[in-house]
Amino acid sequence: MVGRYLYVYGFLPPINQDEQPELKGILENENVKFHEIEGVTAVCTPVDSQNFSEENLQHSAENMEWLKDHAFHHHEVVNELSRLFRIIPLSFGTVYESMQSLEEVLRNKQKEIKQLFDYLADKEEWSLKVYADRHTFDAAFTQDAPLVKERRREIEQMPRGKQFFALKNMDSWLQEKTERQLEYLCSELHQSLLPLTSDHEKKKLWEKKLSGRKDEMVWNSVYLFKDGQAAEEALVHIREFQKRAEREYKGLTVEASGPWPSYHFAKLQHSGAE
Amino acid sequence: MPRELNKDQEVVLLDVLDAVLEKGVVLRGDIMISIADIDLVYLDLRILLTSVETLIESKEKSMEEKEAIVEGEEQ
Repeated sequence: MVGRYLYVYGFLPPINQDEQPELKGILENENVKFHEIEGVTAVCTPVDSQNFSEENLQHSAENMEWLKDHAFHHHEVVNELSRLFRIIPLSFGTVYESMQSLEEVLRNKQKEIKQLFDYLADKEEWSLKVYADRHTFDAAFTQDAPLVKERRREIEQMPRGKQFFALKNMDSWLQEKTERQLEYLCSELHQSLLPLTSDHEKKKLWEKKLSGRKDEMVWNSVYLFKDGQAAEEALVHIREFQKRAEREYKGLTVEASGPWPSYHFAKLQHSGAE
Repeated sequence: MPRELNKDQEVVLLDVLDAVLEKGVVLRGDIMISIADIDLVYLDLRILLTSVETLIESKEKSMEEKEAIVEGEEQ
């Protein structure tokens, strides 16, 4: 028999009924519901127990179209609520078999959840990515960097035999120095943002086939800025970096987006619990 | 709309998948189901992006509508 399970998007502090936005759920004709337990509002919607059984859910997640639609639906609900309230987003695909089991978890975790609401108050999550068009960047670096000019002068003054090997190794030398320069520039930007943050996470770089871009991702990180003003200041740093890059380091592009729901920083470990 | 700098829409969409599939609070209960960890890097995300334009359009449209509502409420 097909019954109903409960899909949970995230948690909010208590909200009044007239503040509850009308958002579509997963099933036809079922909206997102707001259920308050012990001072925490669970944002949930009923789902079909057959489609959302552990086995079927896992199986569905392997279907890209299904995954895309449902993951975006999850994000849209969380994102919409994050504009209106402080939200603790749950990981995609969190389903409870009954309201009773959700209530039990909430009763056990309410203290940590409330601490997390306090921790996240006013903070903003932003993502930062830097890309390098390696052809342009490497060519400009090879031509203009004082370090490279110095190395060329050194080589010119070497005895012939030594010069031959130095020139032979010049490509790998340049490669290493270019990589180091990219790392240095991104780290410099990163360091300038850190005083404005409460937390940050460096993320995996995406290969071109994933990002779908021609230039190479050279930096990928997320920041939890202390508040909206800190985020604004960070944007000033980022814009300055981009302007300087246009003048001095051709081929670099910086991208920032936010504020995001606190996917990366809403962690219950902050309050000492998993 | 979230404030964005030099945003690349496809990348923003990938960020969404990255965030909701790998991140967010995991709150375990006795009678609870969750999807095992999905690592974005192993998914063939290009497939996901085939219908990306429709998604962007519908997303932007709904965002604009909602923004208008929110702004209206704020005033």
